[in-house]
Amino acid sequence: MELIVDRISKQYQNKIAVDRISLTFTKGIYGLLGSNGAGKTTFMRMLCGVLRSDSGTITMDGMDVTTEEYRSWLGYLPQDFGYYPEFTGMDFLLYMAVLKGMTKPQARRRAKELLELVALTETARKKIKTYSGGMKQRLGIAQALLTRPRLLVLDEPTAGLDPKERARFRNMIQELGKESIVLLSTHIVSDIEHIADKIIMMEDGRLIYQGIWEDDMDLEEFYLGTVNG
Amino acid sequence: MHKIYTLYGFELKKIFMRKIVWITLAVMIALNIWIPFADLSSLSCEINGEDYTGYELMVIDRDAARRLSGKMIDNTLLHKMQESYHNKEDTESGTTYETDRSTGFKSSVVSADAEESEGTDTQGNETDTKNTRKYAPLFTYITTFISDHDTALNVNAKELYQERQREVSQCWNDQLLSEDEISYWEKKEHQIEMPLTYEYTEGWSDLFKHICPLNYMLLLLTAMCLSGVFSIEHLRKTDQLILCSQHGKGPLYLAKILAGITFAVVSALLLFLVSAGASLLIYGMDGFHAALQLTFPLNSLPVSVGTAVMIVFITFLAASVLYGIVTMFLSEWLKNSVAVMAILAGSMIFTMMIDIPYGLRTASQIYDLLPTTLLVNWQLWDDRLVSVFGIYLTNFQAAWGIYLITGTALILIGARIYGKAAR
Repeated sequence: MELIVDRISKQYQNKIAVDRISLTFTKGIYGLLGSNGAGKTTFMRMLCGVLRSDSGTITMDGMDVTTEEYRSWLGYLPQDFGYYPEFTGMDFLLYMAVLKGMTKPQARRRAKELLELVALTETARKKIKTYSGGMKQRLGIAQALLTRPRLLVLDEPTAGLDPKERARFRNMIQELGKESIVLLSTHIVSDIEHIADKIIMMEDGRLIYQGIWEDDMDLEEFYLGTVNG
Repeated sequence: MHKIYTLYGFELKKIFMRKIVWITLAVMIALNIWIPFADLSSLSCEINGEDYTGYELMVIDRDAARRLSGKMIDNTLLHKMQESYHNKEDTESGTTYETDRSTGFKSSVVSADAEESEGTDTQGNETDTKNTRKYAPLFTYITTFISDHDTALNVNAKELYQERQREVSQCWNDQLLSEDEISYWEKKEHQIEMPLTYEYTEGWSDLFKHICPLNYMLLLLTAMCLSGVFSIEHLRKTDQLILCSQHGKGPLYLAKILAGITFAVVSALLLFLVSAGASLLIYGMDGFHAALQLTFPLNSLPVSVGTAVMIVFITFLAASVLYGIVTMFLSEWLKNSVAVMAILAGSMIFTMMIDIPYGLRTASQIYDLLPTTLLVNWQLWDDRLVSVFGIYLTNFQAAWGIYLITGTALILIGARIYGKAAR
């Protein structure tokens, strides 16, 4: 399993959001760090095919990002997770599952499993508009996991989660990282410092660091040091 | 296919779960029920010292018309009608007049339980007015194309049909028809069975009359309920999830389009049935097989009222499909439901206010084929034809084809825009 990002760029009018980034991902957890406006979200959206890159290519096991096959391997939780307020949690997962190519019985089974995993079983039949911020975020995580993705892209996944939920989330991600490529961005360094296998840092659209996480590293200090040159 | 069907179910759910859909639908249905009753409630008059409501007057008219139904409009019937009116004029003193609601013609009215007895020539005003009322529906019909009442009271069958033909020709001239078009309609005129047989058709006429407000209601309903089909995904940021999913492009687009069209067609069906139900409940279902010329005297189509109702119904459904597609296309293109509603409401108001004269033939004909103008002011029965590879099509036939082509083209263009949604 290999995701190859080759010199991708994205420019918005005069601002270069992503500047010729090349990376190769294999199984494992990747923590993406960067200040606001560093280009993390743009980079992740390009990996998911939501944004087209101006140049460069993204392929996974030879499949281009624009292909249906690539999309079938993908799980994505956007930074601003959108939902349908009138749908119940279960409806939402079933809908997303069908969009992801699952049959209804498969979707129903998987939705039940995931609702249990994110502790939403009891509220599965309630409308999403009645959910708290944390519950919505958990539902977002559940939809990203629907197809047991080979590539899981999570943009600020812990936003809105309480400490207990964050801990549960970290455990879940650790498990997933054994079988898939997990890329997660966050402002909260502690969320990734104990679970990420590799660290990627971005600043002004450029890749400023990529490397293996060492257990004795103080990530926060390292990050600030890297950003400040 | 199975996935499209499942997604289609979810898309329908998304549409129907919005409160605004149910509120708008309920308001439109209530209005449709009310409109035919409102026509009657706005009318009342005093006859021979007695007050009559609009409904009572309608019942009197309806009974009189029903008694004439099935009678050929020939010299015999015309003579009886004219005789009754002449007798009334002789003994006019003491007779009360009312204004006919459809033509403005003054005619006399007796009590609601006035009993007809053809041939019974009892002396006195009551009998005269009773007889006059008996023929009032026929008189009203004749005066729709013979405006002079004196002429109408002295005309024979031959002159009557000649006068109708003269009026029909005048209409053709007003519309600046070509010789080929005139020849087309002349052939159609020959197919109309003459003399006409009188039938009471008020229920269906009322339905024809209400198709115009019905059409506007449908456009507003579609604009309000479907303007968010695509734009809401952008607004709620669910488009990111959709775009990166396996079936988020092709199948979902198709499912959304099908769901939107289903909503538009079901709404049209519901509005039409409610409106038809209310009109037919009040006026009755009589005259379904009558000649269309009894409802539209100057029309040259050799079809029955029932066929014309079906034509209006099919055109209304075709318009609903187009409204649905146009609304969804704009929703996808502009990604802003308020802008979509503003464009559609603005177009509606524009077509209500602006008319292009017959002199500008091509522009006028294209403009009159728009669904907002076609189902208004009887453009549907316009005599201008559309020539397609030498075959002449009437307005409604051309409209069906044009709506189908336009709808398909918009779906295909929309699919391209949707496919390029990833920026």
